[in-house]
Amino acid sequence: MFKSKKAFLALLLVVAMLVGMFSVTAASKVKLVVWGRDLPDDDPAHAYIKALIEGFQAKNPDIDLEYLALGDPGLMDKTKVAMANNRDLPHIFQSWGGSVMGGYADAGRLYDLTAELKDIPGSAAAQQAMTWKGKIYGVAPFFAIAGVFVNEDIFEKYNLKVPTTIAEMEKVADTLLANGIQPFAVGARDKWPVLAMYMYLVNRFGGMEAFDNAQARKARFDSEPMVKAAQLYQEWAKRGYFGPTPLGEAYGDAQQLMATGKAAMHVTGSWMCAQYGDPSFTDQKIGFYPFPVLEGGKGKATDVMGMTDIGFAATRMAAENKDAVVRFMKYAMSVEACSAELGRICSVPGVKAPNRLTEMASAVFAKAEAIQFWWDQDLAPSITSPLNDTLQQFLLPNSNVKQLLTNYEMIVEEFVGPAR
Amino acid sequence: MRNQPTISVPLGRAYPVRSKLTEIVVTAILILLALAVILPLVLPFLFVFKTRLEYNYNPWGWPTEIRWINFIEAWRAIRIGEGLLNTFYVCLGAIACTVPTAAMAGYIFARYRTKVTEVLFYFVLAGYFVPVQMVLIPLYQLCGLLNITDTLPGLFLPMTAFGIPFWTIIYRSFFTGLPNELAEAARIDGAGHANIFFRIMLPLAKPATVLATLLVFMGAWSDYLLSLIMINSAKNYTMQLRIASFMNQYGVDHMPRYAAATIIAAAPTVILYIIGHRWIIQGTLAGALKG
Repeated sequence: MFKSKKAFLALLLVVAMLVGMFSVTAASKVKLVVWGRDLPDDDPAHAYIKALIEGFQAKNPDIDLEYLALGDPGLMDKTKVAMANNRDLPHIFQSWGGSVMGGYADAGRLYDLTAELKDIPGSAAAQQAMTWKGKIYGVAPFFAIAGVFVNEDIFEKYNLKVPTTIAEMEKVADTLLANGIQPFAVGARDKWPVLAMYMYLVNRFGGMEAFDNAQARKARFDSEPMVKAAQLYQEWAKRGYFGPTPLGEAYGDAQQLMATGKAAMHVTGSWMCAQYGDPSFTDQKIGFYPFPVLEGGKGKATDVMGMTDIGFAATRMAAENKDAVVRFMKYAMSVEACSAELGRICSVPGVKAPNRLTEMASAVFAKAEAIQFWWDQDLAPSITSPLNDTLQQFLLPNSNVKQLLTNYEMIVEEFVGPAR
Repeated sequence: MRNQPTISVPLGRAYPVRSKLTEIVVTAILILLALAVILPLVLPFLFVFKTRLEYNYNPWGWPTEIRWINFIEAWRAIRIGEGLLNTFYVCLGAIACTVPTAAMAGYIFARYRTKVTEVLFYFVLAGYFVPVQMVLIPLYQLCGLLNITDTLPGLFLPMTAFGIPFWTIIYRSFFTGLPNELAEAARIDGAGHANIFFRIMLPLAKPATVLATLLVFMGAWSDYLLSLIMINSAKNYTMQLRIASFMNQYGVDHMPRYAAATIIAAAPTVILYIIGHRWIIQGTLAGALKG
């Protein structure tokens, strides 16, 4: 009996000790908490984050930087809960700007840094992405655009030219199919990868206003350009342009198809430049080109779809630590930190593209006359998931794409309002 | 119609054929289910010894050579040593807080049945049906008020709160199955409530206690969501949070390295299961999971 009681009391003591051992934080330095997505390790895709964290710490010994790598969807989930609770917020969090950041700004969770950040040199598109209702909440040192990654070795082998029109693209795809090469890698199982090509098809049919009007509720999401683009997408799926089992391939599988020369084209974001230009990831020669135009369509080759690739926004906690926050934002936009990046398009002037592939993507970005933000970053968060669900179904051969878009329009009407 | 006489074939002869078919179908289904469990354990071993390029070309094949570098790089990248210590701490805290509390509560609800204890038991039972996701925000606020967010106790105490209802039900069911005569005999010999519990009943509930200890450990070890929300500093990161930092919006940056981290993270629970599976099966068979 005594033995059992003694063991039990020991257990209670352990509990008390465990509960009592609270962490103690050093208070000698100014503490700056940053929540990000990627690990600051030696992965080529993380070169910028590593340089940013290490460089900032070295240059600012008076600031105790705590960088938290949360991965994805960890960053999104944790940020959502912290913003909802309005407590234990970091000073800075990695953000893609747009409507999600705007929602946090409307809720009073962000800190207006317009005066401090408005004069930092950078591309207008990147600054616009981190601006909400006229106030700048952060910086976007890297900007991603969608385009066509092309396996140049395969194109050379089959004597193909990079297509500049949709008709040429179809001919190229037919030739590739005839030679047993999958024309496009997509990764439709993850839903969102379908969007990149669809955004461009809608643009090429109806111009920038096709989406802009639908978003502003001046047009419906089942308008003619939207439907025609969806029908073309479905037709390509039926022809096998996306492989025999497009819904069985995740985005990672799409990358593998491109990296191993099993697929010849990949319409996606320029963030893949780091991977596709990395010889430890692929032994194929891959290039980056603008999406082709449609003869008779309204969209132009210089209409480009883009989004923040890496951005940082300040929370309301920045008020108590403004100097450190601004120093971090400025260093994030410095040539020194940005030069470490191995694949993304930098929005800071004076930073050289690190490799041929990024140079090609940067050239497409530089020639862009109009940039439309990635739809799922720009639409209200309540209607982005249904959008991706809808797009994925375009790949089902028997789905009625017009009806799918009408159903989506009804969802938009419910959450945002009817088109006027 | 010429085959009509086959109707007269005795059922005893037709039955084994159908039974064999059924057996084959059932076996095939069981093999598929077993694969669903086994493959996630085996696949990382196919990935972990490869370079990224080799993985891209041949993800499902055997590695061309055994390379340990991914283990070393994963260990460095996410500081696995620190993660293992934190996670052990959380697991021990969860066990220490959950198991004794649930054992005592289960005993009370099984042996001292009054209207009050019955009502209280249904309150505890209700707690079992509350999913963590539903109460994340109020839970976080409560922990904030108690000033225990971003601490490891702030992680295992909510785990305890979610674990106690289930294990109380299990212990109650177990204690209900024990003969009351044992307690009465001890009472006649002069034993008090505490003596009866600690000397008679708790030792008899050893299968349930071992089972609870092992499963609470495994549950705490595998937790991701609660850890993600409650922990705000890198030094307090548990293993699952560290592994998740390999993930990005576009998948996994470095699959072989990710596989190395998952193998290291899974090792303690797999080893624990190998050591403790005898007790887990015993505990289950002894009635711990009845009712």
